[in-house]
Amino acid sequence: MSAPLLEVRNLLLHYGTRKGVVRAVDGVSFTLGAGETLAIVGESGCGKTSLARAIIRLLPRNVHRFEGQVLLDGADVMKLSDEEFRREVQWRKISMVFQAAQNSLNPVLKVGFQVAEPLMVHMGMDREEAIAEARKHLRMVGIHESFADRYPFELSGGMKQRAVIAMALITKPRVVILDEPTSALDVITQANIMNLLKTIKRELGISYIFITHDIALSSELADKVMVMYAGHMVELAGADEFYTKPLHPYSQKLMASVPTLRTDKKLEFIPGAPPSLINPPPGCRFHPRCPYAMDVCRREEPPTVEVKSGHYVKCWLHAGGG
Amino acid sequence: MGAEGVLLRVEDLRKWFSLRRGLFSSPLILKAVDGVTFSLDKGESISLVGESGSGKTTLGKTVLRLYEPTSGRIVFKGRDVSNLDDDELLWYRRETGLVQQDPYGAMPSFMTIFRILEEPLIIHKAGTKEERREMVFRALEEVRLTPPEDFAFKYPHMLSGGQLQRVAIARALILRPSLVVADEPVSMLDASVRIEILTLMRDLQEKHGISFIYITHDLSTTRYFSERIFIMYAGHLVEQAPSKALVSEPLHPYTQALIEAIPDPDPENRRRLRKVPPGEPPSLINPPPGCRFHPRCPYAMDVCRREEPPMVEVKPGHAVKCWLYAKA
Repeated sequence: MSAPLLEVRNLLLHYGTRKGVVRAVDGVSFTLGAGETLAIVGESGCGKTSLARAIIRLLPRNVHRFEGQVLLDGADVMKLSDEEFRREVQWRKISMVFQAAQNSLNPVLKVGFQVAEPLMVHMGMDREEAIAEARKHLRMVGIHESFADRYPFELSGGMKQRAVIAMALITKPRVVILDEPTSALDVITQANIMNLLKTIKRELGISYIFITHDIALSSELADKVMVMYAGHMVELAGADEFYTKPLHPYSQKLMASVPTLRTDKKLEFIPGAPPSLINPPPGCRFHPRCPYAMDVCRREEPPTVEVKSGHYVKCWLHAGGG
Repeated sequence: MGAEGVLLRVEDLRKWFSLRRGLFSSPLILKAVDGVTFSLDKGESISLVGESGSGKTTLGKTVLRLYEPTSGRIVFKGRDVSNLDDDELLWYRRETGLVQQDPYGAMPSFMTIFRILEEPLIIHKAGTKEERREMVFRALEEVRLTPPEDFAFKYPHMLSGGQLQRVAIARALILRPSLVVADEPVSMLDASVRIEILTLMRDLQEKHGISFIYITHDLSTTRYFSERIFIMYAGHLVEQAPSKALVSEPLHPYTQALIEAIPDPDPENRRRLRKVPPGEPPSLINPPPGCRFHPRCPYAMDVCRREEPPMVEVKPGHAVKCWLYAKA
């Protein structure tokens, strides 16, 4: 296999708050190939969005620790200063579609200008050229280019989402991070946006990091799935394997709690709530909610084990240590 | 119809809002609910499914008489409740309950959970002070916020979304109403908590024989929690059927699209595009003539563009508002 496009090694992102240190991302590693999609799933507060923001380095002020390696085409971009990163990587190579993006459009600026803005800010392109490029990208995401001269309130929710996707693609990045890209949309509109994202991926060979709490939706794009729990990666596997045979008890519970239309199954739920990231439980962080918890789980953090080629699990059941 | 009989009958209900644009211009009319007819049995649970802007919330609120209907009739326990005076409305309030989408917005932040649950009891003069305390604690236990002392004297912001939604359910049920409308009760909660809350609601609904209208945009949860499913589009009911039949043999092209749009976790999904109609629901100010779904419908015929289709019962209990199943 050729070198991966993006490799994240032992990434750590902790925030400092008055109540203590929030360990939002606590040692996460993965690789992403060119044209591949990694879905990151987990409940809210498990660190998904923090992981995304760490990769694209859009961080709040209260960062306490930010460490690890992020290799893009083999070069560690964590070594770049903020200014260098902003100039060379942010948007140019890695861009992002934010959660509830429809609301992040500026109401008093024309849509075309906003879609063009990354070209002006990150690539130094002049205004006219950038807006011409924006029209092209609006067309690509299925919006008539005349909407470039309209204001956001004149667009429907689905169209705004498409415009925000155009904004993330306009700099021709290698990786696009999608953070709950359809969270405020209706199901049919959501399916249309998913179709668009699939087509773009096929045509441009782009890589996605797709963040969602919805496991069923994650299967619309994922080639690989990472499950996060309380700042840790607890499972990472190829899609074909993950959706048919998840190994971590948390992944299994998540799958069992998905209501399905097409098959008859009894619905389950996971009792309790995810732990605080300030004082996570000792040992395995899932042990208080795990039906298989053993003694060792309460004492020691399980190692991440590659049980099969490309299938990683962080659980004592699969570590041979129980 | 169930053996226990009809609890609620809604006949050709309309709720229009007038939007005033300026001092001298004529107002725009937004037809949020535009001729809806259905009935609900005692102890029955139905789901009302539609996208945002379909009028489902307005229908729920009009049925509860939180909105005044523009026209049509609401008959509850044999009484016409579409035009009640204040005293009678108080009776209707006691007979009905509402669970809203955002529990943080639905609770006064300055009241303790105890006070929030006690308030409906005070308004409806239920019990002495001691009895009320007893009822509040029992209500908390019923929604599994135990021990109740741990929750009763907290303020809303001290509870998680899931816990607070349990309080909202307890509040809606504390007067033992006959009808509860739950409007997107779990859409703001985490996927793993949703099933827990819905299961709790279903258990309480069955235990107390309450009729439930569960309003949601998420078709995938409905069949677990209701006997019948109603599909709403642009102010109209377009299909109603027993839950199983609706999901396994959807008749209306819109219902078919809704079902096609919902993924199950399946690695094959990434290799195919979903066959869903383009576009988005129409404006309720100027809805399309004829069938309101025709601009997006893959089967649209001439008649669909001209005339509104009638609601036709295709099989017992399975009705659809579509020209494919009706004679022009």
